[in-house]
Amino acid sequence: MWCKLNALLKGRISEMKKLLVCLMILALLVGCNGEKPVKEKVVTIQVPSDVISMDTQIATDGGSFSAQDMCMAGLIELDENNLPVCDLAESYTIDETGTVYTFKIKENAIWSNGTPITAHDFVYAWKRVVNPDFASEYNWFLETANIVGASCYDPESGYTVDDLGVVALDDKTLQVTLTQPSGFFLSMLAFPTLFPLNEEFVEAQGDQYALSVDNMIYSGPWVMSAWEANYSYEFTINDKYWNYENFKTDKTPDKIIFRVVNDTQTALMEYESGLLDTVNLSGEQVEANKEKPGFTRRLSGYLFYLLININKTVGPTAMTNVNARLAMSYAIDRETIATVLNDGSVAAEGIIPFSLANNPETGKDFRDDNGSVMEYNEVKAKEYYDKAVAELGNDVTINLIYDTDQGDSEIKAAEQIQFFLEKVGFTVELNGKPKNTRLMMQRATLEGGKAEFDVSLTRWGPDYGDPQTYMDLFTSWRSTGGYASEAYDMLVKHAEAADTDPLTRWEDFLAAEKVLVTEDAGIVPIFQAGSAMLISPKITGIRFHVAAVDSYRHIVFVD
Amino acid sequence: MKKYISKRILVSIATLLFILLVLFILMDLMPGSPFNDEKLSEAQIAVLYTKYGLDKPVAVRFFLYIKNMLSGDLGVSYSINKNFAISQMVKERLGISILVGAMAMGFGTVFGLILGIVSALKHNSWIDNFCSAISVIGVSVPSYVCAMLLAYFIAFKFKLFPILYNKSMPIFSLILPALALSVSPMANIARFTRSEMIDVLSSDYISLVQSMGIKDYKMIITHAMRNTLIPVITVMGPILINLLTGSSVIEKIFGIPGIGSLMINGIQQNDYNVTIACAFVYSVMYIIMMLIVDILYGVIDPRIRISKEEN
Repeated sequence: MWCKLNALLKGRISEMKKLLVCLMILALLVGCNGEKPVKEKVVTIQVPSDVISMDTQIATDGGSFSAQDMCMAGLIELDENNLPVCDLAESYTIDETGTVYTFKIKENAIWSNGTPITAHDFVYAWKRVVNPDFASEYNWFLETANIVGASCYDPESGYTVDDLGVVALDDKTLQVTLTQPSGFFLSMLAFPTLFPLNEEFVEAQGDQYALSVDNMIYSGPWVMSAWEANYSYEFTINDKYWNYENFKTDKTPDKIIFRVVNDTQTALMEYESGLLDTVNLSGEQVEANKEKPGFTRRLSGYLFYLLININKTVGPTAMTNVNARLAMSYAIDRETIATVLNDGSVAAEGIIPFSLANNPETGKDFRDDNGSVMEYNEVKAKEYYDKAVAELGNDVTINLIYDTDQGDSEIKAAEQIQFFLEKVGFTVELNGKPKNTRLMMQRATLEGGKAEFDVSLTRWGPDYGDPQTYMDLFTSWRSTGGYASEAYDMLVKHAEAADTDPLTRWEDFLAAEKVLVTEDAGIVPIFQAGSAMLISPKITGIRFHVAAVDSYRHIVFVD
Repeated sequence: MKKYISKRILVSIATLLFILLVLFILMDLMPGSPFNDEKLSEAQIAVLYTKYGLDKPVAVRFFLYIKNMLSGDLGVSYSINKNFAISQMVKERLGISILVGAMAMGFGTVFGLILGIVSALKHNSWIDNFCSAISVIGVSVPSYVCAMLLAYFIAFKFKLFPILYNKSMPIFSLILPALALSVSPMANIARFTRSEMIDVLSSDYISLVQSMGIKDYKMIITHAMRNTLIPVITVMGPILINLLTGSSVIEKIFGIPGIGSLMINGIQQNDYNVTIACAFVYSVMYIIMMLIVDILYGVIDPRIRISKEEN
């Protein structure tokens, strides 16, 4: 066998040389004019990771929700100013109690397979997500929306799925009943969890539903035309969308491709070669790129704060001491931390992020109304620390846990926090963990009574554009950190009572934040996450929402 | 020979089962869970565990897994692509990783052999030193750095190749990643080839061949290479496995949906089924590769074949 190979090689060497040269020339030629054959108008968006699920009631991450928002639709959509506008809904009325919403669904709203979109599709979908057997990770969403009977996902609630306050009065009329009036209910309808699903189609797919483009039908402006796992997913126009005539203009792309690229360096190179139309920038890349056209900063709703283990029965005693906590709050220079992160994040001024919610009367942002409810003051910090040491009888050591696998921001922030706290006298032990370990430690400590940490750098993202999504976390019945304050509980309870008017509710929340952060330092807000991107000046129309899904539906070419 | 192979296969199957059991136990001991959204309560996680059968004891889950595996069902992903069949995910990604790995092996072998042979033939000359220097650089420089250099200069500046993996021209867009990946194997193969060939060239039968007036290149290929190749093939086996199972760094840089990044994501997100499936696939490939290497010895070196037959 070897001799045959030898004979074959003999005399073939010069031929192989020729072949090699030809291949090299070919490679050069193809490389040099290897641009797209063109004239399809395509927009390519960079995403750092793949869609996790296209099932609107299984996904929990922003990337999946944004993809679902492209090709699925709900009763309501959020416009550029974060205000709810009708999408599949033709109109709606609210009764005088403020608890019964009646929606008329557009006559021309149909699925991509031609079947009409009906009120039954909403009833089916909403019951599916709260069904305890379905075990959706977003089953709490309807309860947060104050829909009657929505706690039925918890078998111990006493409710069943049939008690859910949603009913189809006829094919095109949907009625929803809430437990109390809610200023943010309409906005929540823009979230994919509350989008409709066609029962016949979904049941026919069985456990294959939404696992590929052939196992889905679409209600939104785009259709998912391809999905290559961990490589890309693509959308083309849905000509069955109710607003197709107005939506499709000569500036609308023929195709929008989301390309999964995890590495920020090669992604930036690809953007600069014109093959990507957006790219996410890492902190290190911001300096070099901030003067470029298309540089965009955007704030996310994620508010990073120090969750303090104030568990009085089992937790370390130092954290139950209010002076120790106040010392922590005054010691940290949040502006410097934001500068160090250099990725679009900003110093927090309270637990409620910027651009989350507006005063119902004046329209002012919550943060403008309350200003900054914390202060960086090293002198005061030292005073509080000395008081704490005197009361506790010893110096304070803090075991700080934070994520090591979610990017650089948490690591940098933790190191900065250690630096500032140690300046005033604390000893800080840094304990970086993978996120799932940190969450497990938090749950074990708070729900199981073990004391595995003193302080955890954690974050919360809003589920809807209202302060309640944060305020609820620190009530004694949610008790996320063991923090419990009668004054705080009273204010939040009053705010959320059925008969409180919107302005009083707003003022209750303003006061509650001051109790939580300024007086008690029950938690210590640090920064609001942001990010920086380059967006090609050729396109426009991406809608970033702090309290909802980022929407890419309305991308158009500038000319 | 047949008996030998059958025995090896049986031992391999037992090894694989043992590996699977160890994997199961390790995953169970790992802290954290696949469901790590901040918004999930303990009760909700318990419900999810029941839904995916994670509340059963390790032994039960192990037997269920083996049973399903025999019918090709490797379970579903919990957190990477929820509810996707892992057998499908692995199949798609393995194909791409094998392609990159094979190309890298091709480049690494060809250039490595050339470097090694040239070094050996020009032993102790400046050419030898130069080739050795290249080998040392190849072993020392991380593949990440090679990848970025290639991507920046060759793809971005000179536009000779695409920067990222492109599904519509798979082989062409995988040339740069394969080259980056091939640097280390090339260096290793060059070093082994050089030292083996120097030994072989100084042996008696080569002197005989040379005295018969046979030209150099013919002598190398016909007489010297086969003896040189044996240790080189031993080294190539594990190198090939490392390449085929995907370098997650290279995959990340060039945006390649390969199995290396799938495994890393699976570990980070506690996606048990994905991690176990990937680790199992690696084990299978490793065992098969060792078997092939063993058989290849017999093919290349008649002495080994004859001694086995005699036994």
